[in-house]
Amino acid sequence: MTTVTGDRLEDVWATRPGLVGWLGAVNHKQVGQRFIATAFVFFLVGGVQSLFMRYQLGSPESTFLDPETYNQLFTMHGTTMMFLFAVPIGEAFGIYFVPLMLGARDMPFPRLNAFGYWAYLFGGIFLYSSFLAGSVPDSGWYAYPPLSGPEYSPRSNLDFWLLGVTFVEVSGVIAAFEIVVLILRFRAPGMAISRMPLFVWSLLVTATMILVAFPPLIMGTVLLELDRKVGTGFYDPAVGGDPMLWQHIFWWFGHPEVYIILLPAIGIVSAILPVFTRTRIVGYTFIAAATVAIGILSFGVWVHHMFTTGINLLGLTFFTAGSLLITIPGGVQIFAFIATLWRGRPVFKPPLLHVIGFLVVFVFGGLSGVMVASVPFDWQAHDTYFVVAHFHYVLIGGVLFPVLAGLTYWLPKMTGRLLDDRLGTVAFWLLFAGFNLTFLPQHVVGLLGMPRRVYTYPSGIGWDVYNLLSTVGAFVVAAGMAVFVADVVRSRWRGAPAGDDPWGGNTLEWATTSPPEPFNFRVIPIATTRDPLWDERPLDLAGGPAWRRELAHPVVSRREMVSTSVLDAAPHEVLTLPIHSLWPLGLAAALGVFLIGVMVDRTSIGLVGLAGLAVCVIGWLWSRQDEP
Amino acid sequence: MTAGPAGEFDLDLPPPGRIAGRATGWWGMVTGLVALASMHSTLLFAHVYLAARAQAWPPAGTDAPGLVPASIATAVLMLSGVAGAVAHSAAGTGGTRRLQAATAVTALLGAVFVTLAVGDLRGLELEMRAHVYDATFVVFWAFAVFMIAIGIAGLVFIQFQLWGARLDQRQRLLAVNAALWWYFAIGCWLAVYGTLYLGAGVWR
Ligand code: HEM
Repeated sequence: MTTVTGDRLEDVWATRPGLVGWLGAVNHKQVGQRFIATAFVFFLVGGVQSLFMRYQLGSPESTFLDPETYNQLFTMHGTTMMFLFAVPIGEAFGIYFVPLMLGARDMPFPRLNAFGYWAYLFGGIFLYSSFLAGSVPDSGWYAYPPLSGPEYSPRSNLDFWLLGVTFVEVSGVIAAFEIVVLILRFRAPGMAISRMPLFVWSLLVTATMILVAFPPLIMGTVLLELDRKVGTGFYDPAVGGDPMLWQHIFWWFGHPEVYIILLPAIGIVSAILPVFTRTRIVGYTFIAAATVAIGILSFGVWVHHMFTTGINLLGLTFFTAGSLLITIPGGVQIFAFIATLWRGRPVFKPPLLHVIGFLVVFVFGGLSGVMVASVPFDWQAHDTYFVVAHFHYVLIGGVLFPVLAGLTYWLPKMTGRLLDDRLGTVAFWLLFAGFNLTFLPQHVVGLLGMPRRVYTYPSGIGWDVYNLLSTVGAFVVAAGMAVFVADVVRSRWRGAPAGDDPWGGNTLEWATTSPPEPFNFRVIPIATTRDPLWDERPLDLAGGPAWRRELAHPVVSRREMVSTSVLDAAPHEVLTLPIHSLWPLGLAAALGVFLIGVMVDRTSIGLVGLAGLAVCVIGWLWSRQDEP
Repeated sequence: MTAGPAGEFDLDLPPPGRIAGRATGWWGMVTGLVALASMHSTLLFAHVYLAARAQAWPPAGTDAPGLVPASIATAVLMLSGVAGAVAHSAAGTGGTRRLQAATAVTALLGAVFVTLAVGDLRGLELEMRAHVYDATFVVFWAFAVFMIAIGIAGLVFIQFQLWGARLDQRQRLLAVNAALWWYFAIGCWLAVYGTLYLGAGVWR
């Protein structure tokens, strides 16, 4: 609920009161907060699904789950973790923190940003409504045809998957689009591209990759849905199609996806390390260049997911080389991180603990990755628990630990309350120990021949004890997460006040209040070094050109932000932003109605959705919504 | 030069209209088009991949599409591109009248193109379920034509906005973006024309 303060800046940036104000909020912090919270809830849901699976696998010949339910669970777990958690959480951090780090006040297109969130939420709900309909997707998180095609999945379960994932992908592309334009055009005056925080570099590369990698998957899913609904045969050899086409399209997206997930995490680590080692990051330029190199190289390795599909020898050699090559920039980053730790004076608080968790677990996952990048080994390990162990090391090391590091680091900025160090440390050790207990034995059981995606196994073939350990480990992880969540909840009421800058940070988000004012910065900061808060403390917030004073004390009730030039961030012009809009919600809802129409084969519902889309697009374009 | 804390560069805003570099909306449009181009390229890839693996493409019994109607439609579309370029330049510096006229001509030629292209497609009597060639053809084609249709809708929208209004910065930007979209849509069509029509014999 807002009250009129008499301060024009505060009043115009305040969220409108009531439910309508909440639904129509477009500011990046509200959208970012919703994104982060929603992604985290999806993560917890995916985590619960994994517990069910682990409980089933804890003993041989268990009948806790039937095979069909097991298939549904691993499909929904993988889909949730990859599409509803790992990618959105990286973008969510970007949406909340990049504007703050850049000294900006909002995203460039706030209404579109809000639409991105609603599309994400509705996409997730759409996917999960398959449980209500009793028709849950069960073809794995990459939905290979022919299994996912009309012949072998005749019910609506795969339609839920295809339409839901498409919805979520659209949201991902929109967020990426926002982030690219934001970073190129709205950096604080003086923050030349060579001075951007490494977190911002990583998001720039990630978002660019999303723009190139996600649309093909959207197209691929559209083609599969056409096969299912219209009866075309893009993936059906009987009419000249080819199921391998899906694999190419999927992994063209899917492998960059791994780095799309990973790079924001690298960015989080680069943000935290210098602050918690009290030293500047070692090799800024190398880390930034390696980030760009990974972005480019990641598009050259997709076939390594298809080594067992009969690709010719030249192709295999090329993609093996590509897969190995990408470890070089990855290695550069890891060495730079280790060197920073080495040079500094580490402060072992939870954010740094999680960063170290990332380094250890991720490097381990990278090593087993080098093993499966070699074709002869992959032919052996393919589709066994060795691969399950490998990708969980990469994903949990590369996403979960950095995300928890990021949350423990930045939550005080978002809420104004500190988390508890002791609880944070307990949570970390439970997670770290539990994780290794879960996944280390899986390498062994994989090499012993246990295939992935089996709902049970016979006793007495040497797999029992490894699986039992894995299951115990999974529950230890769950305990660690419970402690983490309890700490977050506790801090809301009992956490000590964080102050503006609890860690002695180097980047601009620590120059504003905690939680940040709705307009982020009354006076737009000017950044002339890579660590502005370390080099200029306190920041020079007085004086400067006329526009700077006018933005601090506006003469009109408008949300205003200054745009800057792409390379050297010289001020360009003052832009006005929308304040409040229900069109994004309307548009996402209309899109949802359209997809439901497709889903249930009801043209009338589809047409209603289309009409809604048209109305919302026109209303959106016609209105500016930048006046109170 | 302002003696700001940065010291080394100008902190003052340049006078309006003298901004070195592109507007934010321009960057937004170009970034969006990159995403759409990557969707369109997927269809191109699917077409080439399936064609390269097929024994015959188009399959035995299906004729390659005739070149004449599609070429006429393409010529009309290229003409609309010229009109679009005029609109683009008018959006930058010209007056309302010129912009209005140029966008109207672009939209009109676009509509003629769509009519011709749809007529041509119907004449081909493709059956999407019968063979993947037909399905690929229709979807690849539809994507490009859909982009053109959206472009037409955008141009019509601009016409409405310009009625009786003074050309302000925002409308100019909208018109520049409509022109960028138009070039992109033409590019999509040229990819379709090049592969499905001109290149029809390559995989025979
Ligand atoms: C400690 C937490 C986790 C546990 C205990 C766990 C457990 C499992 C299990 C039991 C499976 C099924 C294996 C099979 O039958 O083949 C699985 C699959 C998978 N998990 Fe996890 N997981 C966890 C966290 C994560 C996270 C954080 C991610 C991603 C960010 C993730 C991504 C996946 C993927 C992509 C699959 C493959 C699904 C498929 O085969 O289609 N998991 N996980």
